[in-house]
Amino acid sequence: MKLKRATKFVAASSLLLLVLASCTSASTSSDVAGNDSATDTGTDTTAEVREPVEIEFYSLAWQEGAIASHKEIVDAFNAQSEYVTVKHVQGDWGAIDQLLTTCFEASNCPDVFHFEDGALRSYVERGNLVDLETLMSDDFRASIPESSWATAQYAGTDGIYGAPFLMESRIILANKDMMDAAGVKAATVDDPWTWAEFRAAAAKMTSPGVDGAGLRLKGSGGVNGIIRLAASVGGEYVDNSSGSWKTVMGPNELELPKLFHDMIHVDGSMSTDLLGLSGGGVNTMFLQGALAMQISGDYMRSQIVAADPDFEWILMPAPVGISSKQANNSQTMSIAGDSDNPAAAMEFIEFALNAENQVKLALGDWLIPTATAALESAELASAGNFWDVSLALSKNLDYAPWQELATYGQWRGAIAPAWFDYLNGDSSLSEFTSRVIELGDPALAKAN
Amino acid sequence: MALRYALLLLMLVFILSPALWLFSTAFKGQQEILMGVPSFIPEEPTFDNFITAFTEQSIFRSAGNSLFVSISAAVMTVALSVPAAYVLARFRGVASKMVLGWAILAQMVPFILIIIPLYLIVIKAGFYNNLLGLILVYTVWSLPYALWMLRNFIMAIPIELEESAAIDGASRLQVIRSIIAPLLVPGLVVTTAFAFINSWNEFFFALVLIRDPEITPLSLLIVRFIGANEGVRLGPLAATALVATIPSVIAFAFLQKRLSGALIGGAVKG
Repeated sequence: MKLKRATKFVAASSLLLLVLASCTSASTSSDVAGNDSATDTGTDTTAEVREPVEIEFYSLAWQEGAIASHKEIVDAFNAQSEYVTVKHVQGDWGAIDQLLTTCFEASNCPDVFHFEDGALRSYVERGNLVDLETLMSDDFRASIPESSWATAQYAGTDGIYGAPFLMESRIILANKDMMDAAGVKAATVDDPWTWAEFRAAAAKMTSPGVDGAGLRLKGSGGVNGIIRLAASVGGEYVDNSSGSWKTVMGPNELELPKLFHDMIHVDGSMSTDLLGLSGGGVNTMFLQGALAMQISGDYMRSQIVAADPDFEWILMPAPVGISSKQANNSQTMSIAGDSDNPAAAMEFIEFALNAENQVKLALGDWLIPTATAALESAELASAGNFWDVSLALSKNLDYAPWQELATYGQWRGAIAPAWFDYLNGDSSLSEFTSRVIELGDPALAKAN
Repeated sequence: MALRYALLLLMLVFILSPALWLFSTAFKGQQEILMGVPSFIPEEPTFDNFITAFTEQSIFRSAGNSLFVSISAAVMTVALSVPAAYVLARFRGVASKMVLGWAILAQMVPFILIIIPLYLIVIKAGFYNNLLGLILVYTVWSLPYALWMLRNFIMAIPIELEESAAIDGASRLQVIRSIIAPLLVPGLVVTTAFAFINSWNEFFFALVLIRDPEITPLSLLIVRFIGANEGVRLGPLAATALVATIPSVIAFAFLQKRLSGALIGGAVKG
């Protein structure tokens, strides 16, 4: 009987020990997989036992080259990572907000997701995102300039909530033949045009059936594009120095709308017909020879090259005012706050956004990388199609006050009709000023 | 007469133009699309857009997923609606009125209000990232309208036919099977078509309930050709959209006669 009891005791003790041992082992593994401090310190983790984990990467790449580079990077990561497997999930730009809003409610979002700096703020305020600062290695932090990291940092919150990796700058694309025919000297990175010189050049290139320059107001590249450019003339449009957001329409803010208005209605070098077109629509007019210049994003180069490889075009810096600055706009990779494996997710982000991979991503999307080494990449600079100019212009990208504004998207949409009416000639400058304030302030009030 | 034909022609052009433009764009080369050449007939017809769409986005697999989900949801919707609609049409009590009121109310609830609770329920039930979950959601989503439609069709069938059959000794089940069912075919066709198209075109439920690339439905693939800054890859988008319209076109071609008759029949009875 005693022997039987002793056997039971030994068996129970062994079982308990086994359970305790497995718990200890599980917790160690999850520490390594889940809160891997080795990533921060650069400690060699290969000797440690790690639980294999799978994380989801929600990519918004949509151009052929970009999709291929995202997939290639995921495959390369999976091939070299012993413990972390990344599952590539392709999403789309149009529905990412709806997806995130829903999946954050159920703590079921992809571990890593691709988005843009301006759109992250509301998720940061709701506590949906992981502060990358606590997870990233010093090397990774140092690989991207602080001016880019600033786009994913938000006033009133601590930390960094997105790793910026592709930037877009506003540039001028011009028809080279038309420039030569009009005897207009091209602007360069070292010698950019002033806004007055841009106006004069557009007037010079205007002829029957050809507008000197094209401008659109539709979509995120419309009014937003002008507001980004207005940083060069000191235009800020919104202010919260008093502690609450207000629309500002001073002389600096009115400078560009007034210039474009005069180009349309005084010089006749711009047409109101283009105001309602998309970026692609304006580009089509440009390719058809109905436009000598267009103000666009540098991604538009891909469309020109794809449409007509023989088309003679030139990329020039955006005109300057009191400075050559323009508001930055970066694509980002973030980690969902409910991710079970934030350290593994960070490991993937660091791999995906290393300089070598950023070159691939930049080439795929025709946008500017953020990593310093990628910006200096010879492969990128020698890729033709004005990549060297695009890269050089990245120094002009700066942080704008409205990037702090959580309801910037709503504000921008609310004021758009006032811009249309003014540039269309349906309202005066004073009406435009008061309408922008009247339409914009309610959207700002939501952020106060 | 000439004016009537002219108006009909105008209407035809109005209705067909977008479809023709879609068809034409799907066969245009990238250069032609980006250059904005405004013609219905492609200068150099090409299958490049289809090749891009099929190689980049697994259109076949997604079309298969959509077909499976839509057919299943349509069948389930009809299977559940027929007996319920029969009861609502033939047994008019307080309960019937309440159910009908619910069916109307259910259609008035804004989609955005239910998505998060529904999402949580689907996850808790273990149907997240599962086509069965999508089928159930689509069935529930189509059910109220299907119920109303079928109820109206059943009410249009004279009750005397059922009474005669009952006098001849037919049971309730036999009445439904032998009398109601054959007369209800047009209604079933319309309801099935409605539930199928509802599921085939649906985007938002699929967006939040399915993330596994292996089981992605077609509606999620189409929008992937639309990018940031209003950028659109029109060629592959048109090719995918064209593929997505094929099941509806085939269904309409086969069901057109029954459908038009049934729509008119259902519309005037209440």
